[in-house]
Formats: sequence, structure tokens, C-alpha cells
Amino acid sequence: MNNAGSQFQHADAPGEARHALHALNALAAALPEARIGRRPRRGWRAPRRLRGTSLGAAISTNMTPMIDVVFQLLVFFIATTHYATDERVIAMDLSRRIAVTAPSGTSTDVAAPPLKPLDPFAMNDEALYLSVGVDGVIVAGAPLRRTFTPAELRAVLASELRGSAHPNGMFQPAFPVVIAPADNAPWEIAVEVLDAAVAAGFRNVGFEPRATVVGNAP
Amino acid sequence: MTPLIDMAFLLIVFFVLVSQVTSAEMVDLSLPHPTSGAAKQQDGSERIVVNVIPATDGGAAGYRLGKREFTADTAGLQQLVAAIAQAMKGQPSVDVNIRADRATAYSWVRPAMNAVADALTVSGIDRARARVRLVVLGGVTSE
Repeated sequence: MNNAGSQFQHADAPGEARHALHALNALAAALPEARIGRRPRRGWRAPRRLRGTSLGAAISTNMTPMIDVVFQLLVFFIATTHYATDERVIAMDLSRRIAVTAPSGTSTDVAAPPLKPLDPFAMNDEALYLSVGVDGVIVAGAPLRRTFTPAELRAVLASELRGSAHPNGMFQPAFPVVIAPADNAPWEIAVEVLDAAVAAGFRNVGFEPRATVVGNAP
Repeated sequence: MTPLIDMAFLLIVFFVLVSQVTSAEMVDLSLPHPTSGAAKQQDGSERIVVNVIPATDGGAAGYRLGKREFTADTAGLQQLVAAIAQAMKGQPSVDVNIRADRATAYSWVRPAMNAVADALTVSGIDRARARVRLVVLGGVTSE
């Protein structure tokens, strides 16, 4: 069979084969009109031979499953996305933290400028040392020397900070506060104590200087 | 129909990208929630986030910086120090945020803080200029 052009040659085809070739030619003529996803051109009609058959209907894709999947994905990603909602930060001063003299005499790696006492009768420049236990009991070192619950500590620190509200307060805002949580104290309690000191107005709050060698895992 | 599908695909792409960005820096953990307001809103400045990955019983499964995870042993912590120093290179005033679960024991958080201090020393940044922050949950609403 000689395919000279786009038309199928059927001059010498007998009977039934001729009918089949007619149908093929009609379909070939119809295909460019029925582009996928679009309605056929206005006024287009399927060839009479094909009307009422599935080939005569306009060819279009069914979008519903795709849209279903798209919306499933959309809902999934909306539901699983975590935002940093309501996360806040408490500033912590590393330099002061390292510079503070530890009462146990552990060496510090930066020589800190000594904190100047306010007057000769002011207390020494040792830090207020707050040991935090596992159960949340806080043992305060000199000059407070007693145990606190977090709520009590919050109140005492706020009232002992010298300022316009408490002119007779024991501490200046620059007075260093060192928090020494126990090894197995939950982070929540440690942060609570840090927050109490910072909220009271202490500007010099940090955790204990490093107690172990560099990079020593717990 | 086409605009609807366009919008749906745009939203999908947005959420895919956002979830990748946020999951890279945030491990899913329950942050401490102190009762008063010493905590401040984060500003939009550049930051490095060091996560303490929680394990059961108040332990830590390791540390995470960006998409890199580090084991909680000496070798892992040395790598963490190097990674923090690398991230701070060229931007000495970057924020360093430390995120840890409220139930994690302090002895597992301390190495993260020490690593930050060591990274400052390694990269020669003055500690007084370092901006180290502890990430907590804000607001008065309970979780």
C-alpha cells in the first residue's frame, strides 16, 4: 500500500476494508479538532458516520481525580507545617557567664574585670549563686542563704533589686547572678529561674561556668 | 476551573517550601514556658539555631544545627563547635538560639551552651558581642 499523503489510499481496497478506511480517515480528520482538555471548535460536528459513538464525542480529560489529589496534598501540607508560633527568646550573656567567679574555685577561661562595689560597705562582688535542684527547690547562696520555691524567688529577687520601686534593695542590677542547675534538673526549671532573675531586672544573669573539660558529654 | 487549579498548585508549592525551611531549623519539641515576661519577641535578624534533640527520660539523642545532626559525645560536640564557628563566619553579630525541650536534663543542655562558647573562641569573636538566646514559649496561654 502506497502512503503518498496523510490520506490512506483505498482505491483498490475491496468491500469491508474500504469501509474501515473511511472510518479511519474520518477519525484522522476529526482528531486535530478535538484537542485534549478543550471543547471542540464551535460549530464542529463529528462526521455522520461517527455520530452517537464514543469516537464522536468531544475528547476531554477527567480532572476530578487530579483535583482530589491536589487538595489532599494541600490539606496535608497545611496540617503538617509548624510555624515558630509564639516562640520568644531570653537573652543570655555568655561573656558574663564565663567571667563570673565560681565559688568552687573552678578556673574560668576569661579574666573578668572586677565588678566595682558601690561603696565600701557594699557586699563583695561574688555572684548570687542559685543552685537549682531536681524538684525545683532553689538554694540561694550568700547573701540570701535560704531555700526558695520558684515563685518565692521571683518575689524576693524583684523586691531586693535596688531601683526606684525598691530604694533599699540589696542588689544592683549589675550584680551577677549565677544559676547552677543540678545535672538532672529539667531544663524547664533552669529556664524558670533564669526568667525570674531577668524579669526582676538583673542584667547579668547566666549559667554556671563550665564545670567539665571542653566538649565532655554528660 | 483553571484558576482554581493554579491557586491550589501555588499553595501546595508554598507549603512544601515552607515546611522544608522550618523543619530544617526546628526540631519538634515542647519548649519551656516561664511564667513571666522576660522573654522577648525575636527580631528578624539572622540566626543560628542549635537544637537539643530530646530523648526519653530527660536525655538527649544529639544536637542539631540546620539539617546536620551531631551525636552527644565528644566527637559529635567537636563537630558541632566547628559547624557553629563555620556558620558564624563573617557575621559575628548573628543570633545564636538554643532550643531544648522542657524535660531535657540540664546536663544535656550545658554542652550546647559550651559548644557555642567554644565556637566563639574558635572564630575569635568577642563574647561580649555574642548574642546567645534561649528559646522559650511566649504568651500567657497554656499549651
